[in-house]
Amino acid sequence: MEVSGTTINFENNAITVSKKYTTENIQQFVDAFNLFSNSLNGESDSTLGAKRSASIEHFKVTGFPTTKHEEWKYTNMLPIIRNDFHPHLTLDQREVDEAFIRASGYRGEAFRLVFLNGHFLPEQSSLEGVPEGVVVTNLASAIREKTDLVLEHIVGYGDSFEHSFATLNTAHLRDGAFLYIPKNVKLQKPVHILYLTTSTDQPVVTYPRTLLIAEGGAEGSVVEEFTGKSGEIYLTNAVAEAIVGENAHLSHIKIQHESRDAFHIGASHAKLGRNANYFNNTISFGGKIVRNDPWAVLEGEGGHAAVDGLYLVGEDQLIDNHTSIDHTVPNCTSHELYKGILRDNGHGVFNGKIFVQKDAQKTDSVQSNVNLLLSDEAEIDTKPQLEIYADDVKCTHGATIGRLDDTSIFYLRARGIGKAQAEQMLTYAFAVEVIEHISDENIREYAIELLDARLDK
Amino acid sequence: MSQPILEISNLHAHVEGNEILKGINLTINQGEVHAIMGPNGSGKSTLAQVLAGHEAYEVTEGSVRYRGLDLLELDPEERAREGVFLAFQYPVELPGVNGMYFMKAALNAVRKHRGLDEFDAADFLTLVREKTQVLDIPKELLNRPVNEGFSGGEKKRNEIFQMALLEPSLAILDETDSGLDIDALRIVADGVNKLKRPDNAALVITHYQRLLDYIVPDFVHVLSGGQIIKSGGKELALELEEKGYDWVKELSREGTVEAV
Repeated sequence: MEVSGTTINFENNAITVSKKYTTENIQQFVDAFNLFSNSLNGESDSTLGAKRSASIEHFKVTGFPTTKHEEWKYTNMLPIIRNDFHPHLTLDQREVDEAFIRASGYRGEAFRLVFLNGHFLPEQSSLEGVPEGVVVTNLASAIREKTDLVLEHIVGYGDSFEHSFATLNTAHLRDGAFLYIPKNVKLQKPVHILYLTTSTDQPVVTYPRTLLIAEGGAEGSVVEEFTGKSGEIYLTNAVAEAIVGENAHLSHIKIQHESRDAFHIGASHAKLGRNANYFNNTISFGGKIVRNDPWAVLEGEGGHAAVDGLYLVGEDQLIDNHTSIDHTVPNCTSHELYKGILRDNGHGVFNGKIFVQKDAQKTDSVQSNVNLLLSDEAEIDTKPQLEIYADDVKCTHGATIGRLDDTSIFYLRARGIGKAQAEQMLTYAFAVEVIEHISDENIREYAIELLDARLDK
Repeated sequence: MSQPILEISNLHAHVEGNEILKGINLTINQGEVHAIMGPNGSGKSTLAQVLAGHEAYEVTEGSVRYRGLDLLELDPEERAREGVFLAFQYPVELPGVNGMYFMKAALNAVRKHRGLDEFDAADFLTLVREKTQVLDIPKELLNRPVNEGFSGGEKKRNEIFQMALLEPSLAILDETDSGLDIDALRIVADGVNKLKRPDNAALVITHYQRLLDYIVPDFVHVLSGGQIIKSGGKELALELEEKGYDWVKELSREGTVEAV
């Protein structure tokens, strides 16, 4: 009798939870939006205001995706959205923990924009020596000072309304990072965008927005870094947009090492012009539930997109990468390498879509997802996906799941290296290939440091 | 009288259910170089792998004492730290593992085990410079991922270089001569000879006599069908070269096995 009673209670709970998921949890985000919207006090441009309103209205209708949605099959939003997240509307200077900020993130040579809980910290940023014509600033300043430029390019992503979290980000669009490299200018130093989050009284949600514009023939390198205080619960819901002009080169790296109790949802959207070269590299170490949606669209002939990623998934962690490369015109190339390391009961998801549209003849595309499974309890769900509508193309894709090679382990042990260290060396060797694709030496070394530190644990 | 370094008695070993070693007896003393020769499939490489501790090989009978230790009880890394070194017949390529990093990790694992201070980067570089001069190995090789894209000769030279760094008490060279041209062979043999000391020993496994023109053994053993069927001095190698392995096989069948 007791057993059946428990079952009934359980079912009741299940119903309550799913009800919350469809109404109360969504209402909570809408209420938070209203607070945010009131706090703007008319500071905003009306075009952006309209974008925000349209986005929240759309969100009210669609809500969050459930696991019945093909694109969210393995990633349940409930553990994220049932937290009582609040946007951090104002930042008190007393909250700025300088020691924490200085100890967080990449410290090598760069133009640097630092944000705490979504707020720009000009004093912690370093923008000296930015070449004439180049703009490196926070997005709120850019909206005021470069209004037309921002409006011309922003919200390309949110317009599609296909991604509830991106929609929510657009609804909350206020600040973030902005980079503009004018025609034929080559930026010598990378731009480092550091998004820091700390939850003080209650779990914080931030909506950072990054807009990168490289005009024709321009060259630049950007690293977006997301981190926070370990052990804290927060949600980062980020969107980045990149416009890569004709013959421009843009390297766009994302390094995510959020608190292991935090959540991270990040989407990026890049548009490539004629002969443009775009390199996207998404490195995920942190977070409890992480979702990355990098998306690159080849819109001009002769363009090349490289979309790489590395994910290290450990205990009680889920990292889900959904990538899209869209060939819309002829004679473009794309190259994708995603590598995953899965430990303990970690769960990884890879879904890589390559679209080759009807006009995109002579497309040359290579996609590969390689996974290293280090534990019997770890799980990887991988789905490389080609959708080809043109008939004269060269596309290859593949996914593999493997373990460490016994012969290699024996070779290292036969030289005196212990089994655990041998396994760590080989795991490092597996992962470092993705990091080696980063062209900036300092950033590459920084990513290696982070990898080393994580493999040591 | 010199001390025994390795004492193998009645060693039997299986791999995937097949018995490959069928009762090996062999004692190697300090300062000695022993050569093991034999036809393909006689168990030469199995012996090397068993001594290094490869887990695919199961020892079913017999014992191996190494400098007073029960060798078979030790993990592969413990054997290496105690001074057993196997120069692999097929050195493994390790893409992504930097050669210098690998060798520093190996050397420090060995030094730590012996109660010595671990080498820092500067000490290690000094040592590497010294050893590269002795062995005439190009330094560029060492900075590349371990063995990745190396030629056969480069891989074998890298094995000997690692041996020089780790200064083993017992070096086991598993067909180090295979796939080498005569110049590479001379360089490798030269390296081995330079590392010879009165307190260490080497076990040279080879199919051909020509390596033994350069590394002169004190004893030669013929392995066939998983047993040592004939032992002798260095002249046995020449005799083998002349008469071929069929000769020893016949000896074996006639039951005229000679022991030293």
